[in-house]
Amino acid sequence: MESSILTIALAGNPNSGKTTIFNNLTGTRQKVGNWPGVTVEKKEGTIHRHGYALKIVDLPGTYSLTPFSIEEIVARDFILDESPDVVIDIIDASNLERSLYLATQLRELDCRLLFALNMADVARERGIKIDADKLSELLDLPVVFTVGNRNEGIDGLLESAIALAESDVEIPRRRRVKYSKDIEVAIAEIRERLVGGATGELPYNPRWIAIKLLENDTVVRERAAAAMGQGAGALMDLVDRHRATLRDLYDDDPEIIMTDERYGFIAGIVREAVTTSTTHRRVDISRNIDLVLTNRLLGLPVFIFFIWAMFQLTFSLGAYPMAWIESGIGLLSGGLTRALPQGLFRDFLMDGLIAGVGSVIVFLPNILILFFCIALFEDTGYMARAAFLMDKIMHLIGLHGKSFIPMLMGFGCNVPAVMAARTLESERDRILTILITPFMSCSAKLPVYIILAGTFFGAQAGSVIFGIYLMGIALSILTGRLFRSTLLKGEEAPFVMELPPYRAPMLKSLMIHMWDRSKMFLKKMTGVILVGSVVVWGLSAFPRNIDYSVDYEGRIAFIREAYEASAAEASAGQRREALQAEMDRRVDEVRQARDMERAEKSYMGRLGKFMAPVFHPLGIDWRGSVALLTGFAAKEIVVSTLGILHAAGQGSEALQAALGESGMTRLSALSMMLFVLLYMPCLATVSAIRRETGSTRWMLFSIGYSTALAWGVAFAVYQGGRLLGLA
Amino acid sequence: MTRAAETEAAAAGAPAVPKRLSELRESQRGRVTRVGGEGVLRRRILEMGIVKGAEIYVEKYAPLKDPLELIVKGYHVSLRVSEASQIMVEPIP
Repeated sequence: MESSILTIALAGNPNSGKTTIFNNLTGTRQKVGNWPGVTVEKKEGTIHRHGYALKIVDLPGTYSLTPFSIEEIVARDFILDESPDVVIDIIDASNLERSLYLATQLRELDCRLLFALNMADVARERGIKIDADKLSELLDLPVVFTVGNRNEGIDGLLESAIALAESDVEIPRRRRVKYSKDIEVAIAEIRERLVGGATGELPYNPRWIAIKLLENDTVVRERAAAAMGQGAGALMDLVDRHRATLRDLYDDDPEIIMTDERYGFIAGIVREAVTTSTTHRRVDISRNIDLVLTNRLLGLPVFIFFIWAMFQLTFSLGAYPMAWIESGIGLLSGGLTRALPQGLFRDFLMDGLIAGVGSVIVFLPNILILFFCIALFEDTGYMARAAFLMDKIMHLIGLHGKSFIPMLMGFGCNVPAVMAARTLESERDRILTILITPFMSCSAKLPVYIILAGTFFGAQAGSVIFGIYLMGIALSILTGRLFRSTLLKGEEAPFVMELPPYRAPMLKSLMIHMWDRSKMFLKKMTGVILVGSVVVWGLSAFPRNIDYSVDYEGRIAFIREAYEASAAEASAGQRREALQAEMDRRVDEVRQARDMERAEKSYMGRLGKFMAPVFHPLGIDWRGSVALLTGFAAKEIVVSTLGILHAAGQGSEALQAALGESGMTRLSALSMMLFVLLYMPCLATVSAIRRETGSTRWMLFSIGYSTALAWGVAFAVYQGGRLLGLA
Repeated sequence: MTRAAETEAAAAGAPAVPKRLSELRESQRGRVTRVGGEGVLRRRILEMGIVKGAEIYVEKYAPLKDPLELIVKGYHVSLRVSEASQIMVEPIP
């Protein structure tokens, strides 16, 4: 028999242990996605208990249901529109008073509500004793004790939830917050008008709508107006009149008074249901840890050490599995080379598919380690301290302290960096961070600087490269300030941030965290990357039949014949070897010339030549243009393309020599390095931006802005330098 | 009012003169008399339990002097100095 489905929503404050309980309930059977239309993570999982299929939905952690943040809107709309059978409010027992604020708001929504008093053990240690029966009686709802991180009380919680869903008792209407008389009068009047005047069915319970209208909740105002049809205008007049009267009466906005009164109501409950023993010896481990970690002198050095350690782990430790993956891909393509006949299909498979996907999959170890570290920071509570320490600096760019970590990661690789921006709660901060992170020069750009600076700046190469990095940082700050005052303008999100007690991380939760995010990387990236790499490959590999200006094969054959002839004459073994080496060198030269012509005449080469006029004012020739275009697949490729186009053969020294003779100057090298620093991020980053902003438009904007900035800066430097007579 | 006058007033048992929260130093206590500010910020501060009458303890300032860490209703919360300056408190000796 098909079991019937019950939907259970988990609500609660951030850091209330909600995620731990969710993980314990659903284990690995959870689905992580996004809420429709927004980039807030949505987690759900279905489990089977007591003859029901229980669909558990983890709502975003919020302190309130005022629709000021996306998380709050998402949580509220889910409860209102999807009407889950039961809502479990997970309450941090050691933080009861503040947790009850959300609880009173949930109570007003008239859903079937159940309290899970979590971490009661911590509360007890702090000398806080909660009378659950009293609390249950005062608020007229079931209360269950749980200890999430020890998986205690979880079964009881589910049983109570099912019992509540099965019970057909009317949702209790008493035991809600009762506001002062004047406010209650206003609520009653608006409520009556709503019930009497609605043309259609009212979307939600009328008392709640009335309360929200008095609080000037814009979302509810719109929806109520829609439901009222003709009577909307009169209703809003009534609401505005009451708001004005109340404002006169209390000398403050009604929403503020109502917040105050909710806390008053909560204070009453806490007085009755909670006893705090003052004699209890308070050893607050968290405060002791913070004596060091947010210490005036030690805080920042320790933070820098942690970040350094994370960087080391991600990029140094990650280098080993990266090498294994690379050699695995090497083995695979080696095997395929032998197994498959030479031809288009093999080239497509090897140079297009495997090379393209391979170039992304090598990042997987980095990403796993990085997300493990970030999960560790988040789960222990250190992330909030990091934001606390760095906020002053980041606020100068108009960003939140938490933006520091993604921006720093950008120096390693922009893909995990963009994904690390997930830790920011405000969407505006997240987008701004994502837009400026690519200016943190990633490690893949370094080989390009090394070749160019090494060739043209000799002993000053190090300083020049350092200058390029600084330029990236400076432009990210300028961009941050520019966007904050234009595109992403608006009231700055309040910083107000809880510093939760430190908690020992749980391996299971760390693993789930890490894996969820990495899986998303794998799934979503591969699609875009696959297509992108095939396109880049196709442009470089076609047309197949190039009309070579020189008969290269003939030349190679000629050199070989000449060798055979002279080898026959040469008697001594040593002389033969010298001849053999000479022949190899000449054959390589011809092959390089052929590869160069092939690259030049491929679609990519033609595109490069077509684009050359755009790059000309920057002092970049057509070879540079082609190299920059191929750099879209991955920045390292800029170097290898330059190598092919300058027919430089293997090794960076050969390329440096060729570049030195190519007519490039110090100024044009500088211009090209700046262009590489700033222009559009690589394919993998671009798809990460698409994914994390949830919008193709932001992705296109990022590409457009960075490329325009790159062109502008390179133009200014090159032309400015020429005017000053530098070359 | 000078510091001396303030101490005198406190000693005389008169209610302490309200100050901005950002004027309190580390390890000082205060009782909220008024939460100012605009829109979202003000609402947010109130929702986090920093309401009129709440007792606040200034735990510490960040190494760069901004933001600051407070203890209110038994939990730790941090505010920027600019945000804290909107909150008026009556110092508790």
